[in-house]
Amino acid sequence: MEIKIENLNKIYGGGNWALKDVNLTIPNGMFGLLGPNGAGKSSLMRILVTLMKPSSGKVTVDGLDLMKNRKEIRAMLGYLPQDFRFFAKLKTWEFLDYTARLAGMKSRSVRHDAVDRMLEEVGLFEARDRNANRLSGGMKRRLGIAQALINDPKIIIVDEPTTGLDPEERIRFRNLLSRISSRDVIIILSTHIVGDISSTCENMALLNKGKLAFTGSPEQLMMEAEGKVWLIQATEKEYLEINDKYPVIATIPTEKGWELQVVADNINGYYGHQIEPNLEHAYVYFMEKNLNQWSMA
Amino acid sequence: MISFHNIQSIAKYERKTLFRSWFFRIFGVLSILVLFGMNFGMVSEGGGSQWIFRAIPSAIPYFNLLILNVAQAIIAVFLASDFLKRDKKLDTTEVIYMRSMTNGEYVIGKTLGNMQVFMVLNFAILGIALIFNLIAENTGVPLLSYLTYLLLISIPTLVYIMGLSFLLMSLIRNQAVTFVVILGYIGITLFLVKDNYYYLFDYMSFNIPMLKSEIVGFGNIDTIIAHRGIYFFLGSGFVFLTIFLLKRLPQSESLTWFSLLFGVIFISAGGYLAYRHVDRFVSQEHQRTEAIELNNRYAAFPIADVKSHHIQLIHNKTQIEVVSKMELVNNGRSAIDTLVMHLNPGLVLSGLKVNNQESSYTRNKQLLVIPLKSKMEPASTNNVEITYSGNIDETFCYLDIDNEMRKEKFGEFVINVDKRHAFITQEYALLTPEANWYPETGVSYSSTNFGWSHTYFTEFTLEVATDTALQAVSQGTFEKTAPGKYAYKNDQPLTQISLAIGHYDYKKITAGNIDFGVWHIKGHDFFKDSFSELKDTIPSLIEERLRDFQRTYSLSYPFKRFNIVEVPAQFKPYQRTWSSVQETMQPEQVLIQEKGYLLRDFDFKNQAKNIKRWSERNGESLTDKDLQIRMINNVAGNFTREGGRPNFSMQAGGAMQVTETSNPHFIFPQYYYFRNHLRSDRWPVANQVLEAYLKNQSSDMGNNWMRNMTGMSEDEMASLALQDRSLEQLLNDREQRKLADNLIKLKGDVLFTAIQANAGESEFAAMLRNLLRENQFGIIRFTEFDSILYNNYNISLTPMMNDWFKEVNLPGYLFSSITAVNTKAGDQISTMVSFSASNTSNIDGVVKLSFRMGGPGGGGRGRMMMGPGADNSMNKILSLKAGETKRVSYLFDSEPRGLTINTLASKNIPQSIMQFFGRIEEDQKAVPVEGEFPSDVPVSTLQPNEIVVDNEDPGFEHSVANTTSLLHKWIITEEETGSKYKGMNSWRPPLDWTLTTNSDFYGLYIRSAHFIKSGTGDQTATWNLPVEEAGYYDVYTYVAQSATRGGGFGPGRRGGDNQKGEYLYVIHHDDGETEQSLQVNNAENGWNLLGSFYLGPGSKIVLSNKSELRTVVADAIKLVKL
Repeated sequence: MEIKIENLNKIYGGGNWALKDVNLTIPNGMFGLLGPNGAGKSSLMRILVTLMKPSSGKVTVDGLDLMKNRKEIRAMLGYLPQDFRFFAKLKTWEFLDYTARLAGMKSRSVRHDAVDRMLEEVGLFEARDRNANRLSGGMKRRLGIAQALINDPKIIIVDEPTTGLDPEERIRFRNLLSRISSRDVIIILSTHIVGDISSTCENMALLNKGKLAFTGSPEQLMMEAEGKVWLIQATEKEYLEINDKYPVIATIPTEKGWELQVVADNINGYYGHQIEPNLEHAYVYFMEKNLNQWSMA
Repeated sequence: MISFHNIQSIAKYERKTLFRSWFFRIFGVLSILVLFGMNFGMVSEGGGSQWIFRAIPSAIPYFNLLILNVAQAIIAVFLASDFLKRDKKLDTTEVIYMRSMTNGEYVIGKTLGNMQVFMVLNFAILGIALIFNLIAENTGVPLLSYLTYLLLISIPTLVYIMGLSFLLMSLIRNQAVTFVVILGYIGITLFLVKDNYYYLFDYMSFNIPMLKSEIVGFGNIDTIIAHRGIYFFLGSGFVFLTIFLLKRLPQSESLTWFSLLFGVIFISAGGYLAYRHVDRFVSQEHQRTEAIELNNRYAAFPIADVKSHHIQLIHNKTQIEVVSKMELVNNGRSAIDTLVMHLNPGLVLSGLKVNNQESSYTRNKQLLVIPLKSKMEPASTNNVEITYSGNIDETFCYLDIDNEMRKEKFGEFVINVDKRHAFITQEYALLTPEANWYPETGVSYSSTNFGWSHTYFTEFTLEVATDTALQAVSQGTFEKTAPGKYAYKNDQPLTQISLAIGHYDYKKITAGNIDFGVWHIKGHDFFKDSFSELKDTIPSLIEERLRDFQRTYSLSYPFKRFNIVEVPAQFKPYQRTWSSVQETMQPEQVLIQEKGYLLRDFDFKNQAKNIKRWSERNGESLTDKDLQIRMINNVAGNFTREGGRPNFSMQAGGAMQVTETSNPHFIFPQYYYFRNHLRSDRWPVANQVLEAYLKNQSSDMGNNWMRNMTGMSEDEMASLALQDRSLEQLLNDREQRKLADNLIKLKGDVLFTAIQANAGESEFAAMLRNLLRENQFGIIRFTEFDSILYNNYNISLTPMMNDWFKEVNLPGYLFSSITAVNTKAGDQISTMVSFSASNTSNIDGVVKLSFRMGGPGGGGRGRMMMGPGADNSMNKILSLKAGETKRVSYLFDSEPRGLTINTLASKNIPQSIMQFFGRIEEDQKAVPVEGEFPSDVPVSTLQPNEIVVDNEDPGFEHSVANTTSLLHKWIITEEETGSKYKGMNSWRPPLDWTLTTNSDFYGLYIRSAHFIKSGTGDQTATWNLPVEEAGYYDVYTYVAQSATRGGGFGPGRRGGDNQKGEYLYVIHHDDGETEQSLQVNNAENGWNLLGSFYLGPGSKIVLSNKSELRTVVADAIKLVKL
């Protein structure tokens, strides 16, 4: 299964470009969509889940045009939107049952089994009779993923799923997605939290200001930052200078001053050495680089 | 392909969500509680119950859904528009929107969910109604009606209001604005438009008649289905447009356009039905206008009488097949070369023979014009045979009744009943002369020629063939010749016959050689156990009531039988201008609508309870027999009382208007209209005048409460109209239709009272009754009547008639105060009543004096309800020539209780001046004298040094409050008509100064006052004082205490208590302004001094509406020069 995005554009009223000439192929497995706030991730997600029309361009799912085959494509989808807090006055199991019905599960017993199984899977079985509006933030997220998965969708799109979750919930959530990704599905995980991608995704894309900045694996992105991440020992005075010159990723106080992780092509005049980049370093390097390019352009 | 699974899923969870909404829960509980209470009050006998609900049980679900529907239509707006708002607000909606379903499935599912919620509530309410229905006695349980009303009332309303809410919410995108728009629309349609524009805007079906009869079902099912279809289709169309406008990417673009297409198709269907609905009414109006014009063209053709009429009728499903054989006689003075007849246009002719030979004829609408091969000379006869079949087209019934009157509500409480005038269904038929089901000579009505109304007496025979399970009911002696075959033969010639066919049962008793019977629909014998104690005494009771009635009118019942015939609830009679008979009255029959649902006295269960309660309150101990006697007397009262139940309506400005109605079951026509006819080609109205005179044989005291309610009796309105126009002009004016019988009665009273004054009351009465008896079931020609008068009393009517008919002038009378004293002549004590009276006009006049005799008590409700039974009054006639004044005195052996002076057709309003005497003192100086003594001193109400400004004078003016909204004026373009003078009521006084009359108010001829609801002082009444000579004057104001206290109808104190209250007057005099208050409840009845002031030209007195009292009354101001 493959999602192919070609020359996708989305322009909102007033000429605001949300997406500009996006070309992307999303294969099976877990796909991360990374980018800062306002990069166009949610617009892309909403187009992919048929909630919004693109201004131009084409999206196909296994050759099926998203605009022309909404019925078929919607049947393949599971979606967890960025905001998932306010429900109608329904109990947890009822909400899930409602989405299961709309996902095409007609048999009452099959649906009940699926609902219970899903509630077990996301750890909400005990809260099945609780009003969905009264669940905690994490529980609501889990309910969200449960409804997205209830019909065993081929494509699962989750938009900023870990925002606002405590670390324990976040890890639990990532593990859940990883487990599902082992099936024959596409999971698109949109986030601005780099850790979500690094720990789960095989492929990823980087969006910035509506444009695609990178596509590939997280490792490839990290390779782009090879030799560009430095660990510098700096005095108080140097710290202030470095902070002005380079993006500082981490700041650790030491007995002699500061130990700084910075992203830069070189650090002329400062004492430091190169270190192995992680995805966060690569993301910052990439964003910094593109920012400069785009600003120069 | 539509997925019902998706629709069901969405509906299910929408339903769940709405059920959990507190808004809906509160509404649901309140609806249940309110309707439970209403059912308890209206349906259950414990609560007092309205008879209509038990008489016609389908009224129970109808009523419940009608009330619920108004509330749910409003709530549905909130819930329906909420779904789009919720969609917008709930971020979780996105996970629903991205599911594989069409927008149509989504919106239809939501609509269905909303509908289901309301359906549950509807079922709950219907369940409550059903329980009350099951508990109620004397009624059936029409289960199918419960479902029918749900389909006809709730579903179209909900679909429409939801569709409208969805659509407006989709367009406006703001719930608050949508609410305001829709609630405004609901308010306008419910309170302003109401039943206007042929019920077109009545989407809640609050006004369109929908009562389902137990005899014939719905009487207007086509209209109902079309009307409800309008809203169902419009609502459905709006739902489809909402699908089109839904802010969700559609499953397929083509489906979206289908939504638009369906939306347009459904709205067009609704529009088409609306067009058809309106067109049906409009084309009926056109047809009626054309029919009248057609009649007018042929109204002057000479008319033959029908001497005998043999009708063979086959009732075949929804048609009748008739062969009508008539013997016509020319009783006129000229030969007839063209026969003009009328027959309902719904009946199609298949053959016509004159003197056994096929004849040519022209059929145009209701008219049948037959050119005769040889002229029909006076006194010659012709045989005419007509064969026809079909159903009755009711468009052509009541051509004389205008649209305004036809539009008036019919029914009880909020139950609206459609108006039907004939029925031919498979199981039932009702044909009265108004249906024109058999041919009659002449035209059916003319608006230009009085001579159209041509009454004759015919020997009818009727043969009816119908289903073997059905019974035919008509006049005369009947014989069942074979199963389903009946032959009726009249005992005497009749003016008309009627025919009812249905599942009838017959019960009768014989009293005084008359068979009193009831033809009721099988199972409708609810009365059978109500008179168990009277089995032996009912005949004598009925005979007694009959004798009372006959004694009052000095006329005898001319038929061998009197039958009450039960007819469908929808059967609606109208009061006519040209006849005293309503269609509910047929020779030897009275037609009563379904179990008498319009007559409270037919609710025997409740009546018994009420009589018991009242008697216990009065400390009376009633046996069951006494109770049942009262009940039967009350029932009898429905036939012997002339007046019907008053109509109450709300006028612009909030004042309650009460109008008089005639009693459609008043049996007087049996004694005159169906028995005698005074025929005059020149003055066709003569017959009605004679009838009105015969009918008007009782004193008027009992009706005074009614005129106080209405502000002016219809007789007084007629008097007022006669001041400017002649009787002839007024009778030609359709606008005056409502007053026609009053005009005839008044003018007739003047004519016959003048004859009586010359001939002697009892002599004239005896002569007249003898004449009627000798000519019963035949025609009395006017010339013959006139010559009898001339021969007996040397009076000729003919020379008087022209003036009487065409004259525009009325006498006006002034009366001094009336005194009643006990006088002594030897040992003989007698009561002397005396007063002076002046006829100030330039034409002769006559007034009727009615002394109410007997001790205190009596009368009251019993008399009013029983009609003019044993009337204990003594009548006198006082003639006053133009400009004449008389001092009159009357002596009585026993004390009279009061005197009513009836000024007949005169300038005096109120027409009747009433004086109750109370305790009569002895006057030792008074010399007992009886007689009329001419006087040179006219009655005067003023002294030379007095000036009076009455509220009728030009010097009186008042502020005008704007009590009608612009919206109302814009929507209801027709002006509300009504009397200049309104009734005075304290429970809902007007917000504007309103004229009312009462004989206790001050006035020269018109004793009137203005009154208004008390307020902040923003409304004022001003008397501009015509002071020519400056100086000191005593200023008086007139207070009519009895009118002010007036029996609950006067302005009185709040709630009728004795709360003190003041009127605030500001006297504008030469020295400035002085505020003067008057304690009304301590004031004198009559003139009350406000003070002495120096007044000059330009002085005035202003009374404001600021008062603690409920109303403020402005009457007259008197100045006395010091």
